[in-house]
Amino acid sequence: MGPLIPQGIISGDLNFFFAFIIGIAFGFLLEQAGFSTSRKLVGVFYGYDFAVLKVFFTAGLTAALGIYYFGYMGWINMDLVYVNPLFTWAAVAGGAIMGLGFILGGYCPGTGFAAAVIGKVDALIFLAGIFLGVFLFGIYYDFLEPLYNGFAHGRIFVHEVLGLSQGTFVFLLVVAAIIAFVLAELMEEEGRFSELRNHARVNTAFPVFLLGTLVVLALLLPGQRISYWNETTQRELAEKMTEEGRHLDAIKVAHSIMRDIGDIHLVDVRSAEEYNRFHLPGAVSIPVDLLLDNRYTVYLQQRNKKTVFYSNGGVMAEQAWFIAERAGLGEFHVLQGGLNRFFELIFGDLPEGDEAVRLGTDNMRFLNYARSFFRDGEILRRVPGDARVPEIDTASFAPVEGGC
Amino acid sequence: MSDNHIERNKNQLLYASLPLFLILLGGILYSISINVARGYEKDNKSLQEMVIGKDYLLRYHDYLQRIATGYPEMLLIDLRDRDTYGEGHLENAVNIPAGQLFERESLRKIRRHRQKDIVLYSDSQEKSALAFMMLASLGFENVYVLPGSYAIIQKHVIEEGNKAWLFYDAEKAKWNYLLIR
Repeated sequence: MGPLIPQGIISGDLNFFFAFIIGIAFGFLLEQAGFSTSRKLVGVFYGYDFAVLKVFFTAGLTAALGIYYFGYMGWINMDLVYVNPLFTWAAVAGGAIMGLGFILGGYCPGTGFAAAVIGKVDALIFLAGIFLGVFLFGIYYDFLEPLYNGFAHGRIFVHEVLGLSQGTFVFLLVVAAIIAFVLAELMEEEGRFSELRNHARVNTAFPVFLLGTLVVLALLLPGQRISYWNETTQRELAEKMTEEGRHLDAIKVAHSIMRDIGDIHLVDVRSAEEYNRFHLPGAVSIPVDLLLDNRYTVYLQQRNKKTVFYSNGGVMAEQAWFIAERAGLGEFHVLQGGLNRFFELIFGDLPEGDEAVRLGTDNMRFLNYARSFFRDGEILRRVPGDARVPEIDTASFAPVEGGC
Repeated sequence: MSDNHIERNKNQLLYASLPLFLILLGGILYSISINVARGYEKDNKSLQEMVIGKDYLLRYHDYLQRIATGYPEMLLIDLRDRDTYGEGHLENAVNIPAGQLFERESLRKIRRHRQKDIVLYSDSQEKSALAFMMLASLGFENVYVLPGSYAIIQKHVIEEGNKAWLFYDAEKAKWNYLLIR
């Protein structure tokens, strides 16, 4: 059940209930479309009725166009969609058996059940064959296992293998479908068994126009979306970049840590490895490459706190700030100079001359205190125990398992 | 069932699909309009990859090589304000203060040199890196950042020619955090 069960919105126990309902509906539609008659089904092989080809090819096209456009509009996240992994030779063997069975029995498995339910004897025999096959597979599983589990290529896509963009592939697929449909019509008209043809010609101009529009769009759109609706506009962002208020200096952050004021929420944008080696007390680890991962956005901000990005030198933190602000995830701040500056003030030599004048007496007095605080081990007691890595409940974002 | 009846039914199905088609088309046009309204030409995800890849840094030895061969195909931009630029700047650098970088005129100026490599420096690497992010977002392809600040480049790289500074990057950790523990 799509996203509902893995996200925990409805219980997994209902799986079979929904499968039952969908199965009944599917069987009903197959029967209504006349797919419980083997005469209609085998029309594909004799060339007088290509309904099966048209129906299943159209279903594939609809899904391909839908996934492509929904992905483009950001309505669907393909990373979370289950894709059947490819087992090359198992697929070839399965396809051969299925095709052979189709020609021999006049049914494919789904339509076989639909026909058996309305009491067709040949379909009942066909079903017996299916169960015999399942039984034999079970008995000879040890022998067949290398074929069944071998030659795995995992989750791969045709357009990636061919090196095409997704849009181009969708375009080519539709062109192939239209050619196949035209050829099918011709064969139905002119073929040896054309007198068996029993359906009316329909006006195809309108559907071809709709399909054509979508397909030309697929070819024209850039492969990847550039912006999302919640992104900050370029103009606003350029303005924000010049604001000085988005910087927090090391003294302010040190003060907040020492007094445990809790007015800042520290986010470490370095790699998890560096975070584990050392991080500021109370910081959460969100590496730059995971910043836009929607599992982590919850941890970016806390109520009534300023979110402060920091990295070693402050460069990556600035860049993380840019990415997060552009994505419109909220309001963010940056620790100026990063950890390097932070430690320079607290562990390095005490600032002298111009630098000391610039900082002012109050800040210098605070620094003296902070140096003793951090050096005498107060921070040592806090850092290891306070390692808060956001715990992501990955189970709730697991891709949907299953398939046809 | 007569042929006529089937035909009418099928056409009804087609007209029923029209609203769905229009919704899809509307969604696509909306996405395109958002792209236009936000004004970016590169998506956020590829920016992320650029940040992690660090290919945007122009290392000092590359820079020195380019100077030695007479600045082939390079537009060097100084992002500090006019006064500090006047006090001293890298050779052949053009001054565009960071605050004015995204004004129409400056962008037009940069766009004119689009086929060249655009190299940024400033009084800190943070500022130049941030300007780089915006230029990359706006679709400029070959933008680079000189690591470090003007002071470091001028003092250690140009004047001293110190090899130890050749791989300087402000983002590198200066302190051994393990020793602090």
